[in-house]
Amino acid sequence: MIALGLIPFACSLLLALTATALSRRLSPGVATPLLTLTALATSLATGIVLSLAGFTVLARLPLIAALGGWPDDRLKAWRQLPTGWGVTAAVLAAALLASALFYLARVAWDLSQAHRACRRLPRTGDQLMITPEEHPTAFTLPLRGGAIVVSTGMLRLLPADERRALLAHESAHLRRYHTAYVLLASLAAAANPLLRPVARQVRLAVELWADQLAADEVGDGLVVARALARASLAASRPSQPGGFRLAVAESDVSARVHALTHLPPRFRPWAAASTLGLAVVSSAIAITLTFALHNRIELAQLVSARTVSADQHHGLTVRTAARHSTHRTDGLSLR
Amino acid sequence: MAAAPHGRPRGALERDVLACLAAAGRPMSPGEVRADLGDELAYTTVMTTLSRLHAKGAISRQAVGRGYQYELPGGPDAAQASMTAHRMLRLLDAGADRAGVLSRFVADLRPEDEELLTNLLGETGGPDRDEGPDPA
Repeated sequence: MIALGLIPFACSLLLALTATALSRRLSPGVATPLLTLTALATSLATGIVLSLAGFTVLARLPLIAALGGWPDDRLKAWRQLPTGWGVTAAVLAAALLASALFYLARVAWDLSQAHRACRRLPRTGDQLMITPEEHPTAFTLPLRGGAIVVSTGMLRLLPADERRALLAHESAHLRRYHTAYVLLASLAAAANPLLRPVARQVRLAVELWADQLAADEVGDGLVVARALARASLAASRPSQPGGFRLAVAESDVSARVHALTHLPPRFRPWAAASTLGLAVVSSAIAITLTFALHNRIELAQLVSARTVSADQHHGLTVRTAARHSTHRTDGLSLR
Repeated sequence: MAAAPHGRPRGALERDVLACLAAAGRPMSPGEVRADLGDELAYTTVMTTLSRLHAKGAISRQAVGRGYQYELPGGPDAAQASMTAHRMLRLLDAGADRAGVLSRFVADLRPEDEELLTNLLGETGGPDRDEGPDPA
C-alpha cells in the first residue's frame, strides 16, 4: 500500500525531470496542454494520497471515530502505516492545500487589480489598448474578452513588420487561452512543489506557442525573433547575478530565439504518450487507494454495527465483543 | 468581414493600423499608413480599415486637401487616466509576476542573452538602432 502511494510522487519527480526535454521535443501547441494536464492530474493524485495517509491516522482519534460511526480500536488494527508517517502526511496535505488556496487568492487579487486598471485604460480597438508611455512594455490580460496593452514607447521602437509580429504574438496568447494553461500549471505546482519545473516549462511553452503562431501569421520567424530581441534589449531588467533564475540551464529568450530560427520539432507520439502515461498512472493509483480506504471504513462500520447487535442479543460485555470482532476483521484484512 | 489579407486573421489589420498611428504620433493620410505598413496592401483596404475604425470612434480624422488624415484621439484627460492605469499594471507586473496573470512579451535577460540578441539584430540588418543600456 505504502509503495503504491509513493508512485504518484515518483511520477511528479519524473515529470519535473523530463519537462524541459519534453517541451523541447514536442511542438508547443502539444506540449502546453499535455504538460498542464499531466501536472494537474499528478498534483491531484499526490494531494489525494497524502490526505488518505493522513486520514488513516486521524480516523483513529476517538472523536472522529465516533463521528464516523466506526470503533476507533478497529482502525488500530491497521498497522500498515506508521503513525509518524500518517501525521507527517496530514500536516503536509494541510500545508499544500493552504498553499494552493493561497495561490488562488493571489490570482483573484491580481485579476481584480488588473481589472480595475483595465477599466481606466481607453480602449483603442477591440482588444488593443495603447498607453502613452515611453517605457517599452507589452502584455496581455485575460479580462473582458482579453486586452493587449502596449505602450507607445514599444510601438515606436519597432519597425512595422516587427510591430505586427508583436501584436500577433500577444493576440495568439488571448486566442488560445494561454493564461489559463499557465495558471492551472502554477496551481498544480502550488499544490505539489515537485512540479515547479513543469509550471516553468508551461510558462515558456506558451511563449514558444505564441511565437510560432506569430511567425505563421507574419510568414517569417526571424521577424518575430528580431522583435523579441529589440524589445527585450530596450526593456531589459537584467536579472541579478547569483539570483534564482541563474539556476536555470537555458534562459527563456535563448530558447525562444532558437525555436524561431530553427525548424519546429516533429511530432513524437511516444514522448506525448509517456507523459500522458504518468497522468494515467497517478490518477489510477489515487482512485485505487481511495476505494481501498473507503472499503476499509465501510468494513469497520459494518463490523461495529454487527458487534453492537450481537452485543444486545447475547448480552455479552462490549469489551469481549470488541475483542472478538478485532479478531474477525484481522482475519478479513489478511485475506 | 472582408477576407483577411496576407494571412492576417480577423481584426489584425485594424490592430496594425492603430499601432502604426500610435507609433507615428501624428495625423497620417491613408497613403502614409499604407507605406508604413510596408507590405503590398491595397490602398482601398487601408482606406476601408481607417474609415471603419473612425466609424467605431477609435480614431479621429480631419479633412486635409481632398482627403482625410487620421490619428489616435488623445486628450490630456485620456492620457492621464491611461498613465495611471498603466502604472498600476506595471506595479502588478513587477510585484506579482509569480501569479502569472499578465503575459509579458519581453523576458528578463542574462548577459549572454544580450550578446545573442545584439548579434541577431546585427546580422539580420534591421534598422540601425543603438541599444541604450550597453556598458560593454
